[in-house]
Formats: sequence, structure tokens, C-alpha cells
Amino acid sequence: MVATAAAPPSKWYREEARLDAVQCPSCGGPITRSGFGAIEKVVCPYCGSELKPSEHGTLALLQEVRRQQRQSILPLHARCTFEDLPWEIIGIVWREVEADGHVYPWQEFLLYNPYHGYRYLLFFVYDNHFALGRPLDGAPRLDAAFGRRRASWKRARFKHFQTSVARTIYVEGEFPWEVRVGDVSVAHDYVDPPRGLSVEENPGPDGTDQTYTEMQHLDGAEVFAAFGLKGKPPRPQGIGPFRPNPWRRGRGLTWGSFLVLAGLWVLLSIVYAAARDDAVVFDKTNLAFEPFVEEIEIGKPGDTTTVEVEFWATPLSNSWAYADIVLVPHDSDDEAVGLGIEVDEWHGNDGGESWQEGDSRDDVVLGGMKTGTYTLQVTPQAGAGVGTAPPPELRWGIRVKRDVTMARYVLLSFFVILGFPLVLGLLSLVVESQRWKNSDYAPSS
Amino acid sequence: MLPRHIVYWVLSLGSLGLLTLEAPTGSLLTTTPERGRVEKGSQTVRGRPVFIWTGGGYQGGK
Amino acid sequence: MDGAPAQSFCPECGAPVPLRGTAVTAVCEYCGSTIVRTDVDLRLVGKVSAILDNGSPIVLGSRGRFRNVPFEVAGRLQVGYARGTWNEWFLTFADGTIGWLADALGQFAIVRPRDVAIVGGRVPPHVHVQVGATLTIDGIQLVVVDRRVADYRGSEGILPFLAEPGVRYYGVDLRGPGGEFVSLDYGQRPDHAYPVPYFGESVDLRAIGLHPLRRFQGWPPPNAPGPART
Repeated sequence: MVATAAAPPSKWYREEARLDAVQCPSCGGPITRSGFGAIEKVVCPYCGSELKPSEHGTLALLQEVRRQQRQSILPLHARCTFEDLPWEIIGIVWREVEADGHVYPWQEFLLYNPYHGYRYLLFFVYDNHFALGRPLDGAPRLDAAFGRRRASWKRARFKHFQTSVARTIYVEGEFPWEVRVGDVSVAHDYVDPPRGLSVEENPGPDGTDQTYTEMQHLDGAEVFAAFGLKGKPPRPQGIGPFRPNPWRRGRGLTWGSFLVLAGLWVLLSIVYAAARDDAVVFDKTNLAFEPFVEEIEIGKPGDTTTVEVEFWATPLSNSWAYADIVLVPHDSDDEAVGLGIEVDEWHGNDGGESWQEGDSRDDVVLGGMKTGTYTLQVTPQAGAGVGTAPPPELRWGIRVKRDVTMARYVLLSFFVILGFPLVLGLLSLVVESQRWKNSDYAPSS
Repeated sequence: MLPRHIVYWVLSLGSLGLLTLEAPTGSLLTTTPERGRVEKGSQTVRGRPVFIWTGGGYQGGK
Repeated sequence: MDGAPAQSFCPECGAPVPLRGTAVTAVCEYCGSTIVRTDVDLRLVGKVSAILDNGSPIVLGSRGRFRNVPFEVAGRLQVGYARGTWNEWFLTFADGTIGWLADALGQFAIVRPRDVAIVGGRVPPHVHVQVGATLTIDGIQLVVVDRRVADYRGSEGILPFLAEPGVRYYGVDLRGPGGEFVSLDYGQRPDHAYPVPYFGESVDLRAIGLHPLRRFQGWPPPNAPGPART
């Protein structure tokens, strides 16, 4: 490198850039210049007159305007923190889109940091959603698959959400480009919640200019915290185009858990079923219709188990049978167990349509039964409609099993393990359909 | 790890716990039969005792 | 470089001028005159280095590191176009190569020159380039994001080509889906298909450790980078 004898003289454009305070040449209002040298257009916040900064730091009047200043929840020169960097609002623009006869306005706050350029903080007035825009460091690939337009950028894929025409309706502050009220641009919005990609076409002197902005959803609370604002942010309505789906949060872990739990379920169900004896402790059939008493052994004493009692009667034809069953433990300190089982068969012919209902066998599962010796007492009854005698050849039978496999425990855990992620999935689909209702792809009613 | 994952695991492990620990004895999720004291009644035709429920409650029949 | 002395002096005021290496144009720091080096001698162009303060945070003489090679900001070309002005900073790398740091609207990119043969005859002439069109250059699909005609406004430091008032530069910028940035320099004529391609990427001033940076009233100065950067 060349060594210089003395340091070269300093240049004003290498010195610290100074803020400036000037008066609007139209209304005289005080304008603070904090965009430093990069500003191409200044719009007076008070009257709306369009001004152009000259090389000497003065503001030349381009167009005299008289309009009221709009109040804003976030004013000019407010400072905030995003991406761990400080930013200042140097310009505010209101734009609107017209669709289906409705007008949808939003605010764009131009954020500036001299070392990092610009960001766009969007506030959608019609649904209270916020978003942060950042100029893209490249150009996305735009294509279409299965009739749906897509944009890809780095490793993210965005789906086309809507194309709209935006009109600028209010301007105040400083801008590094020529902005004016009445500017119209076409915007193609692509989404991949919580992010989005906006491709905007601006007609300019050299032809149409394309700008790419990467969008990020922001919660009102994040924005208020970034600005150090107290109070509650406005409540958002509905689902914004790239507001993240709350039911999709942790989706990977949910389905990963499902795989693990489903595997556990398979394993434990097999173990459960295999460990059941399903042993028949008593089985008698073709019994006459009179009380029946017998001693039975339900397993070896000392355990608690399940007991299935099955009762049947045949032949049933438009008749019913009922068994009044009592199981008396031999160790008569314990309480006896009583239950009733009913079986029936009904059929008929209703003007040509024959029908049949009823079951000639039925069972009941008892839980928490102590194993050991029991006296089984069955008192059967039968009948056939009101006032008619039961069929004479009716016979009945009974079977008692212990340690039976009960499907209900297996099914319960199945429904819990599968149902949970399914319900989350369904809710997530509902939210997505609400999101896409506002897009260009909403099913027309 | 979100609250929903905790809920999912708690409910799932709970139901699997039921399957593993409760299902063999079946104390839950089964019909509640009548329980009570019985006393021996008169003999039946075959010489076997008939048990009758004490203290009212279960009347039997339809 | 035949005939040019090791140390050049400004023909106007006699101050030392750091015309070194491949520099063709230099601006005298003392009197502001633009000096152009010809084959024979130094030609004075006059005091027309009208650099505008367009809010750039970069200052001449700052240093940084790009892809692990240190560089120095040796010169600036400021051009004006339809939408304002922007700067192209001339970088000299420690390994003897050169590059450019594009500085516009708060976005920065560093590009290095490549062989004309990569694009020669395979890209349209400047007049026929469409903004938004896709061009495949060196196997990468790139989108034309800017097609511009820029007029010389001012310069400082040294530049490797002729830079004086009345010069027009025809350029096309393309960007890719992975952050690629390509600039096609058609030079001073829009009607040929042999631009010099410059390949590079967008950069963040923090990431290249550029220092010192310009100070802005009301803004905390960014921290100077540590001795070693990964």
C-alpha cells in the first residue's frame, strides 16, 4: 500500500452524517430529515405537499397539496427493534386494494437503519394483522405445478395466494424512491405460513420494475414490544394469509409421538391378549326351565379377575327369556354378586315388510371378581308377549369364563392415541380452509 | 414440547396404563353388578339351598 | 504501465496520487481533480468529481473480508439513473484480484469479474434485455431484476477504467433463487452481446466485517469486528 506523508483532507461525505430540520416550503410545517442522503422524495406530513431534496439539502416544492395528516398508531420517527437491530420509521404510506366491492386498506411503515437499509412494517387495518417485509436478496423461481402457481426461494416453497392491484392513497415522510398518491402497482402474493413472498410490479420510467419482498407474520404483541409500547395491540380477526396455523405447531413431535405410542399400543395389546387365560370354568346347556344351583371354581383363590357370564335360550320365537344369576362366594364374608341377563326374539310382517329383532344369547362381563369357589344360582324365566304362555320346549344354557380379553380397554387407548393427532389435523384443516377463503382460490359460493 | 404434547402423552400413557394394569382385573369399565349379602333360604326340590338377597335392594326379575 | 512513475503526482496541485496497479482513473484527494492515466502520461479531466452524499454507510479506505480474503475499498464510482444515484465501490483484494461492492437502496452485493466467454454471444444485447425475463448463465437460472442506463456522476479514490463526465454505462443485474447476484457490464454501448460478467452474492455489512463505517447522527456506531472472523 502507498504510504502518505500526511492524512488526506477529510471529505464531507465521509464525516458523520447530520440530521436536518427544515420547513415545508408549502405550509411551513417543521420537517425532520432523518433519512440522510438516500432520500428521493419527501412528502410533508402536515399538508401532503410533494417535495424533492436538492443536492444542497433544501427541499424543492414539486406539488402543492392540502390534505389532513392521518393519525397513526405508530408515528413518524418512532424507533423499534427487529432482527436485533434498531430501526426508525421515516415514511408512512396507506394503500388499499379493492375486491368484491370492498376496500381493504393497510399501512406500510418504512423502517430505516443506515447500515442495513430498509424494512416494511405492514399493518392491515381491516383485520389487525401485522407483517414485516424485507427486500429479497435475490429473485425467486416462479413456476406452476398442477395448475397452482408457486414461488421457490432458497429452500422454501410458497403457494400463490392472490394477485391484486394496490393503490397508494396517502403518503407522509421520506422515501428513497419516487412515491406519490395515486401510484398503482400489481402485487402477486405467495404464502408459506408464517412467511410470505410478494412480487410487485411497478411501472417506472424504464419499463416495469419488479421488486421482491420477503414477508414474515408478526403478532401484535411482538410489534408493541418492538416499539416499547404499552397497552394491548388490536385484536386480529380471522386468519391472515401467512398467520401460522396454531394447530400445526409441533406437528412433527405430535406425529412422532403417535408412532411411538402406536407401537407401544400394539405391543401392550398383544401382551394383554396373550396373557389372558380366557378359561371356561362352567358350561352347561339344554337345561330345563327351573332354578339351577351348582358350585363352580373360578380360578385359584387369591386373585382378582374378570368373569364373563353368557346366557342363552332356544328356540325363541316371539318370546323372551331372562336369567336371574347370583354368584355366592364360598368365603361368605364377601358379598354375593347378582346380575340379570335377558334374551329375546321378535319378528313380524308389517304390510309386506318382514322384520326381526332380538338376540337369543347375551353376556355380561363382571370385573373385580375375587377368584375362588362360588355357588352359581340361576333362576330362569320365560314369556311370550303379554298374557301368553312361554313355548314349552324352551331350553337354556349358561357359560362362565374367567380372565377374559376385553376389547374395550384396547379400543379406548386406540381412540386416544389415534384420535388426538386426528383431531388436531382436522382443526388444522378447518383453519387452512378459513385462510384460503380470502385468496384467489376460494370456492365460489 | 408444547402443552398439547404433554396432554397427548399423559392421556395416551394413562389409557395404556389402564390396559396394562386395570384390564386384567377389570375393575373399571365393566358392568356394575348388584352386590349384597345373601342368606340361605329353604331348600329347593333338589336339596340345594336357595340364596335370597337380604335387606331389600335387588328384587330380580324384569 | 510503461512510462508511468512509481508514485504519481496530481498535474493540478502536485499532491501525491495513489495511481497503482490497474487503476486508470484517480481523484486527487486534495484538489478534487479527476486524473486519467493514458499510455503516455496523466491527463487532467478537471474538477468534476461531484460525489453526492447519498447516505451510504461505506467510506473510502475501509477494509473488510469476503470469502476469507481481505480487501480494501480503493475507489467509488457514483452513477445516476432514472430512480436516483447509486455507488459501485472498487475493491482490491489481498490476493491481487479486484471486485465491486454494489451499494444501492440499503442493499449490498460483492461481485468479481469473470471471463466474457461465459456469456459471450449467449445473452441478448442490452437493448433487448427484458426485466423479469429468465436467463441461464453458467448453468444458473437467473431473473433479470434491473436493466439500466447510468450516467457518470462522480468518483473518488481509484478506478480501473475511464470514468469522466459524459460517460454512460449500460448494465443489467440478475438475481438467482439461491441469493446469486450477477451483473452484466455492457460498457458504454448497448448494442452488443459481449458484456463482462460479474458474479457474486448479496452481502451484509456485518458479515463482511466492513470497518470503519460512516457515522450517522443519532445512530450508535456498529461494533468494530474482532481480530479473527470465522
